[in-house]
Amino acid sequence: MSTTVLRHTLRQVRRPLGVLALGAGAFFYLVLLASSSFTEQAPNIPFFQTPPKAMTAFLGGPADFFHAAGWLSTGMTHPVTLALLTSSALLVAAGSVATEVERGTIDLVLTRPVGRLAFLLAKALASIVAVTAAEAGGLAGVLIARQTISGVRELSAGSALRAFTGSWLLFVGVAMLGMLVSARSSLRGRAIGVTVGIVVAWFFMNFIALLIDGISGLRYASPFHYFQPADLLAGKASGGDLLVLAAVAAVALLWAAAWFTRRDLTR
Amino acid sequence: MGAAIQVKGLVKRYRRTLAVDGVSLSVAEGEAFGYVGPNGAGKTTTIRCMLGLIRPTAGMVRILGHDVATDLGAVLAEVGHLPGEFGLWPQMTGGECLDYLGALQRRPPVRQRELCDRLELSHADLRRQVRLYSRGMKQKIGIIQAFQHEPRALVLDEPTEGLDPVMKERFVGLLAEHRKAGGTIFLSSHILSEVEETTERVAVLKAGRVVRIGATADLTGERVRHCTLVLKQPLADAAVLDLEGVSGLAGDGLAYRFEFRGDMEPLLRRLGGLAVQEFLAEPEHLAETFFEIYGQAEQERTR
Repeated sequence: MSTTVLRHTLRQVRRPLGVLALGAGAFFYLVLLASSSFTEQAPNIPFFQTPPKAMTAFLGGPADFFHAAGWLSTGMTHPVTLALLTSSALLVAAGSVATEVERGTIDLVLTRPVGRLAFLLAKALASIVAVTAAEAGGLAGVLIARQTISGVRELSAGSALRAFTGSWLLFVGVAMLGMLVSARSSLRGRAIGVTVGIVVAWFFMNFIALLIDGISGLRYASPFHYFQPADLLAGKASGGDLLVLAAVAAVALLWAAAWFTRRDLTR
Repeated sequence: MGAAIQVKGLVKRYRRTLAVDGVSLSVAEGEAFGYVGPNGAGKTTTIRCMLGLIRPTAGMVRILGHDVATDLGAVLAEVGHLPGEFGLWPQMTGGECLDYLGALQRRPPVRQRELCDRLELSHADLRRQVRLYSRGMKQKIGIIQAFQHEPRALVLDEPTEGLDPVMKERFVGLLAEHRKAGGTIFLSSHILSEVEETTERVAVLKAGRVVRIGATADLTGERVRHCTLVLKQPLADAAVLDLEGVSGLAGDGLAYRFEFRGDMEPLLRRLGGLAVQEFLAEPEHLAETFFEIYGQAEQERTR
């Protein structure tokens, strides 16, 4: 791996990455702030006790509005979170190769003794750092909320760490998918568009499979199925699910490497 | 002297398009070699194959003794490359771009400061973001990054695009110094005067095939010279000028215009016996030879 390419890439994205990490932290803090006001005055309405199937499907699993952990779990699959974390995953990954090809900088970089694999691994590591920073921002928001908001202290730091580890694995997978698409593409816009399209398809595949019993088997095809924040927070998550998420990332990276090392670099 | 660049039977096919069709050439160490052809002839594709950016469909490329297919890293460590169309990182300064590219090379950018001075890139320029640069300034960065680590071989694709005449002259000076130091140059360009001025041998590429290869001087020596002859006394019979190689003879007895092709010695001997007031023999430039070669190749193709 080229540490020069890694440093250069991280330097290029440090500002947007800082904003995303801050955004993730602020969002989770607000989610937990909202949870505290709700749990203090929780109305005893059947809707909240047993939310309709459509809602639990959309949230990716059981919805518990009476505990901070339930709110955090819901927050982790909220569209804002998905947007923030997908952005962090694709910030480096989707443009890793495609942007450099489109801009014409790849001709300057890869006509030096860098090596395509070393270049790609540096970009992959930079993508992982980007996801880690965003997830760390979110976790920091939770830990600050835990210290500053009454009613959130019940949430243990360890369970939050487990949930964010699962989320990290999911979005590292998204980042590696972005690497794969980018490794095959010469246009940044197309690479981002295709990757976002696949992520949205994954999300809705899981959603529809949870909603309609007849196609419930489809959920196994979506990586979102293997990220169950409620189970992670409760310490009941299956190790197999995390392994699947890790495997998605590993396969995507290996596939990206196979493509990138063999492709012609032309615009 | 051994071959610095060897290309044998290079073929590159993109689905149904044959971009490079069996190119073979050899450039000796210390030689300056021109690679000319119109847009789409396959010049850039050849260069990209030479530097591992494109995988050839067939053929072999060796640079400085290393096979590009198996030992690309060793090749790239010794080569300076200026792509025809390249980009820089818009939010980085010119100095940062040079430092980054220098760090990626296995050789230190020992000439960076000197080259910036010679190409008139000031400290203030180097501290500005590249997105604010003009085309010419970006090209200067491109030239510096190719030369800054003192490569043994330079592979340059349209190197003077966007440069003003003064900078072009300085660039030609840099090439001359590189050659003087024993370096090899592979220069692809459609600016034929530049190739004529800076290279010893040239290959003419058409539709992916080398249609002519030889010494630049030979190619220009084969060409037609446009001659103007002014005499002190009228010539009684113009047939005295009807020598081998002369064509299109026209004149009024005192002044003649004709075209001449071939060895000039017999013509000059004949003129020695006449009362010549003025004789001009303007050589065609490589451009004209180039178009002539192209015309021939086109005729052969349509035959």
